[in-house]
Amino acid sequence: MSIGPVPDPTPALHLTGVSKSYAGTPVLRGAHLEVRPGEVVALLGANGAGKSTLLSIAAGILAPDAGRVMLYGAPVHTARRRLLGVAPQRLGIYPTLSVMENVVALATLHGLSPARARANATRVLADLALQDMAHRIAGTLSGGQQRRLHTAMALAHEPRLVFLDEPTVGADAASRERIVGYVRTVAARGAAVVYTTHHLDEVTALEAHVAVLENGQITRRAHAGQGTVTAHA
Amino acid sequence: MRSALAVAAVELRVLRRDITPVLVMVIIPLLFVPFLTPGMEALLRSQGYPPGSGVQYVVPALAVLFALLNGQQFLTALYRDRHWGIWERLRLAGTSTASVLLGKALPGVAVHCAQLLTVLAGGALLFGYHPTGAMAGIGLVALLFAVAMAAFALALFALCGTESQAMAWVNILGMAMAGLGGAFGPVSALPHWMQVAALGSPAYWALRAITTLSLDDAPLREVAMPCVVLVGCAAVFFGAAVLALRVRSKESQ
Repeated sequence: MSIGPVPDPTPALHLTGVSKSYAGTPVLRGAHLEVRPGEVVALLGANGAGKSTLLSIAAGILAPDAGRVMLYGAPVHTARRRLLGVAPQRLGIYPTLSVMENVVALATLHGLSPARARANATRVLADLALQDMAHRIAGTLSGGQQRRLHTAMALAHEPRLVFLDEPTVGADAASRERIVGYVRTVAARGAAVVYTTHHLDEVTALEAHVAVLENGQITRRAHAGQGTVTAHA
Repeated sequence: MRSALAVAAVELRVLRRDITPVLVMVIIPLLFVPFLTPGMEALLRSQGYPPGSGVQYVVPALAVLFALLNGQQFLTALYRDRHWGIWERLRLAGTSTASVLLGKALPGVAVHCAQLLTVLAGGALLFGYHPTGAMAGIGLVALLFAVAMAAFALALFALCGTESQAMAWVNILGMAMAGLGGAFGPVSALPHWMQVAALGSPAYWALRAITTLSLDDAPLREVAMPCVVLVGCAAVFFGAAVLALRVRSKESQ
């Protein structure tokens, strides 16, 4: 009798009862979210629904008013450095450094040795079709190329949990395709991915589970395009 | 500490890409030396100093003045990361605010220190500046003054609401500290109340230490007091920065 692989019982990300208010206005009201290794969750919601707030709390740079954040069973502050890779919505690159230097810099900050950071950076840049631009100054790249570099900087340290906050904003069609394709590869390697977007075609292409953030709570569907709704809030 | 060193390494790379602002802060004070030396020479001779004392005073005075002005560059580096969206990324990479600031302060201190010492060395090569006291003392004072100035810029970064406010204050306070410190002329020539106020200026203690070593054949122990005061100034500025950043962090949560 063959026994298949036992799924990892520990969620990559487990948000429990997360609430957050700004100046008395509630943005999150006891939100719950669970993401398993290898899973892509598309976090959808209207502008101002609180997606970026939720990701900031999940990444440990914003304290919730209530609730708990666990990454692979450990509190976010102890686990995030090596486990977590985040590409925030706002582009964040060193425009005066080369593409390679940008990726190596972030990978080193995540704790990789310079040699390993460089090796990983070479691979990630190739995966995102930026290998021919590795020595170009980042500020001279096109908007779409900069967006791919921005994403590469979040992934070179091989995080097991990835937050990508609207990673294709301002990117051309080719860059969007590259980024979405690479996110699928990252998930296939076992990383959990939380992906926010306003492009439903990307959600479909990623075969993502959908989590909708509205009224400060998360409602989750089984898969993109399916009607099944699982209440998680 | 490892995160701070990683931030410092990137900061140095960014700096290496364009060192023009640092070079300017070395070249301009050396350009000023021949213009200011004759007047200072006359003033010091009237106070009983030997011939050639003018350059011995003007070179360290300009080195200290431009080290103060260099605070702008440290502030620019702090705000630049916000404009580039890098600050948020560093924080998201699990780097604490303290590590980010330390990582940015380390190259800032190194540049301040190197700039001050290069102006002194340039003064020696070009204009015959030759300190007669302990050389190690000059290096120590340059380092401590650089630390105090980095902490000063950090405090402004933490206390000011906007970049333009911080830039305005770094120039206003920097010039006031330079003037009180004796960068534009000996403190002994200032009115009494200014001489009292000078004791609160880090520039006064840095310049007093360097000119003591330049003009008075002083041994290292002679600059112990200024060194202690510079460390105290750095601690006060740094404490103010930490306090203000904590308050801000609580307000933004």
